[in-house]
Amino acid sequence: MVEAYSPFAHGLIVNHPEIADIAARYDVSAPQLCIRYLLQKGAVVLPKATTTDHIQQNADLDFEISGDDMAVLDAMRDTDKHQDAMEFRWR
Amino acid sequence: MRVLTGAYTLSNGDQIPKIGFGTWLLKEGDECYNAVADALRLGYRLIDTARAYHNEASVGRAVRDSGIPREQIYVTSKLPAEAKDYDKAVEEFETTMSEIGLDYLDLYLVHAPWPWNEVGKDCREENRQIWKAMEQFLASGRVKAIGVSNFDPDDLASLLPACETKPMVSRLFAGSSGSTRPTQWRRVPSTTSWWRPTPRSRTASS
Repeated sequence: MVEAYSPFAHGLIVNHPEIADIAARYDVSAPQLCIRYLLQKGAVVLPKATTTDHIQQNADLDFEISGDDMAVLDAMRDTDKHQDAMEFRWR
Repeated sequence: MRVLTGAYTLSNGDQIPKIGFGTWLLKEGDECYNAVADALRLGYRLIDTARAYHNEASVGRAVRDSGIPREQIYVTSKLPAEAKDYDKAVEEFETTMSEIGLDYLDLYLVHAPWPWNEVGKDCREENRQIWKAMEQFLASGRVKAIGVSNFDPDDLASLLPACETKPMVSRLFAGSSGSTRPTQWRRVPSTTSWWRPTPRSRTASS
């Protein structure tokens, strides 16, 4: 069984334009989209949040990402920008 | 809320919730206690902590105070990445159990294959040693499942021959790339107890 932690790449996905576009189509936030994506991949997902709103929102996942959108998300690569998070990544 | 009640079945037969609540950087005391209490109230049933997060006492207290039966909450903690010999592993585990104040952990993970200040160091021999301690924690019943965190395929491959019980869970950074990317992992059909990455597809030469 795989567990996936830091599903938002330490916050970096929040400003990712392509993820924002897809999330908007499902009327969900970027974090919700990322959690749902990992769930549909069969992983246990471990989001972290401090505010009650975010704790609640991260569990509001009653939508299904289409096969086409899953393929788009699968194909996404880490960008150089994301390398900034690398030294911060292991926890 | 439906997802929060969903679960997978681990190789030990236990149900592990699909969504867990991560507690890294939550400060010991009110901040961590209130966040975990909130998460439990909102329906989360998996709480992920670690000795290295320095908040196990608050996690344990929130679990105990929740009024939810212990067997309905899945609690994970982790052996510090710096504990790379048998005696140190036992000492750290006992500290965790005393801090968290619960009779058992549902899952105990080796936090990383190398100490945080020596990322990438070859600790294969040390990891085989501490895995013996992990197996003893499991046998004692104070831990229901054992696994690894931040292990790449090579780290896992070098551990497996020494395992009487293989890691039941592999915990990975969701944003990893390449062979450690969690979404590249698939269950090995011949066993229910561990996963491996799919072979990286070759770039067609043109």
